[in-house]
Amino acid sequence: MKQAVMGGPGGAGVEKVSDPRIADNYAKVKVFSAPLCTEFKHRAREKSGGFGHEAAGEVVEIGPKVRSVAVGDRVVVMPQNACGICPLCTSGEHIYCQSGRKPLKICGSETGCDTVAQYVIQQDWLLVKIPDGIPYDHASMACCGFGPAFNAMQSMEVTAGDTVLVSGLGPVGLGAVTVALYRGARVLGLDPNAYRRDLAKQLGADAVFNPLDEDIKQQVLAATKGLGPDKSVDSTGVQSSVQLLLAVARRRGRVALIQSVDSISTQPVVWKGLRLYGCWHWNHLNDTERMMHTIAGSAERIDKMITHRFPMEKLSEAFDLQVSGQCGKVIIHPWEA
Amino acid sequence: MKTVAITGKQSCKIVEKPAPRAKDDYVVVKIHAAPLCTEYTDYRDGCTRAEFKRGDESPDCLGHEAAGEVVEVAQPGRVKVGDRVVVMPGFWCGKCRFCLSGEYIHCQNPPNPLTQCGCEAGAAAYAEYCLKQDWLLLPIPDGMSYDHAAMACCGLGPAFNSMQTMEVSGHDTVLVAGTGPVGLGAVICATYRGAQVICLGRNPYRTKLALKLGAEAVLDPQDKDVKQQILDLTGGEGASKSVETTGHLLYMDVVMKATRRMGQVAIVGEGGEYPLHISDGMIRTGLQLHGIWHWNLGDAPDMMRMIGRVGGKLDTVITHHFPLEQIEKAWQLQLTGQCGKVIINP
Repeated sequence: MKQAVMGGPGGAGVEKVSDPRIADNYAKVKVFSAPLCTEFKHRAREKSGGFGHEAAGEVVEIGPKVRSVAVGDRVVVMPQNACGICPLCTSGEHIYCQSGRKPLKICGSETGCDTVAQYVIQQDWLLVKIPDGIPYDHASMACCGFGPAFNAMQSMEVTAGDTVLVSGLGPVGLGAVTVALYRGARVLGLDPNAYRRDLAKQLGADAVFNPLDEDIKQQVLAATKGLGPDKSVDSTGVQSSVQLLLAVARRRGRVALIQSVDSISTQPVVWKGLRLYGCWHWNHLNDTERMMHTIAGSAERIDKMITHRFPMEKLSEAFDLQVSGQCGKVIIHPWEA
Repeated sequence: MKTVAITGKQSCKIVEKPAPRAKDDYVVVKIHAAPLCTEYTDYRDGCTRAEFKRGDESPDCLGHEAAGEVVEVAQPGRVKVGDRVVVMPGFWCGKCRFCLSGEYIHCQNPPNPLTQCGCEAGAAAYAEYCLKQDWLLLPIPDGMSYDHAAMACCGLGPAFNSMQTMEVSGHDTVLVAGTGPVGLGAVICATYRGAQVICLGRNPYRTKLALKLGAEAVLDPQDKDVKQQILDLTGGEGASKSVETTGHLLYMDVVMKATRRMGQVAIVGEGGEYPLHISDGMIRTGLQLHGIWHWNLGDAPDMMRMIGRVGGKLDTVITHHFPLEQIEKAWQLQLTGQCGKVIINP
């Protein structure tokens, strides 16, 4: 099969590798949509190799212990190699599993753990079935496109009537805008990048701001009757962004952090009685139905949010585009030339 | 001031009573909008009892929904003369655990406002003026009309509490039994939260209203395959959450059978009886039932925010206005069922 690799001319390319093998409870999935996440930030690294942790595709072969999927099923591939046994895994919080498995060793395979490839392998319980009528590109938002944002909205119990401030309008932030709008919330956005502010506005954000403006705090407060947003999401991992969200948050408000920052002052957290949530992935055992509702009900917005699609051969071009910031979510189609 | 008295079966008259005077934390509100609720059944039956059976039995307690302007206060408090306010229903002690937690509707020591204030009238909303304790008045945001604000009473109140209690969101399919004013309010509240809505109703006039407000379908509860129709609309599962607004066995039965396993049912419609088979009806289905009357005072900002954002739909659900003098005509209209929410503008 063909698989994307880091390194070489342009910083990324395609290699021919052996097809993955499966065993145990692993299934082999033919990848039709492989969304790009933050991999472009690592393109210059010395070590080359496969990459990618987001995918949607079709089950083409199943191991002897596979129970929950069948050949022909359309599925989204959840990230990570979790054990499936610990309390975190069995409650759907597998992303926090502390005893990961070694799929290549278990399956006797040389490949299959990187999603920007023609095939990938994953355990059956980490494959989420796609309802009829949802295309692969849309379904693949159940990875990082919507995943962390969806978790943030679930954790903060975002509902109609809330004003949600989203800081960072990259692919994850745009996902947060979309998921919040689906829940009937009013959305405000923050990003220095005009292209992405405009995209958020097209998705339905009520107002977007440039966080580099000197009076940014006043602008956000003015948009929330002086009270501040009910709920906020940081997708930037930038210290000043998180500090701004804490500064403008409404008293007893909630703030979800999707990216980590090294240091913030927690003073506003205490005196305003804020609640902070760390959000990585989402709980696919409890919330698959809600996630798929959100995807099906956001079809038009997802079409705006996914700004570019590339065949695997044009990976370098895709990375260049991501570096420029002039894009929303970018998807690789491994079977297209 | 002018107010209303029921004088027999389908018989009422406008009566003149002394206007109430403010005392302690009771203030006087000049009523600009008084929505009609279930009092038309009292008019129909010639019932002269008070609406609030648990409290004041005085017959002039007609009308429990209102919005208006504060015109007299006896002491400095939460409102001042000139404030535009929604008048919450009933009179409550303000001291018990229910009152203190915003659930005053469940207060077990309701005072009689007329005795408290030494007034002959002032408990009813179908009047030019009424009395109300200041803490039961909600300030109306600028730009919101009295008619819209008054929907914070029963127009949207029980439905709003149902949605809050069942945590209805865009991931739900809500089955609304009944398309009267309260059921139509439930359609507004549920669609506001992004939910898919299916209604049960038999009145063509109100079916049209429900569809206009955003219901996906209005089904006849008497159809033999109504449950199957609901399953077909919900991917074979049934509604995740339901609101029963009729109090009729026929509707309740469909609700209990067409709500999915682990689902929730909010019961708002009064007066009915329903034989519940505990095992098959609740235990094996994992249903949660909620009895819902009014809503929690602490949710007032959310309620006013919702009203501010669903104004267009409120204009759809409020189908008729009458001056106080024509309340009999309004009640007659309610008896025909050819209306949504009806508002008296004294």
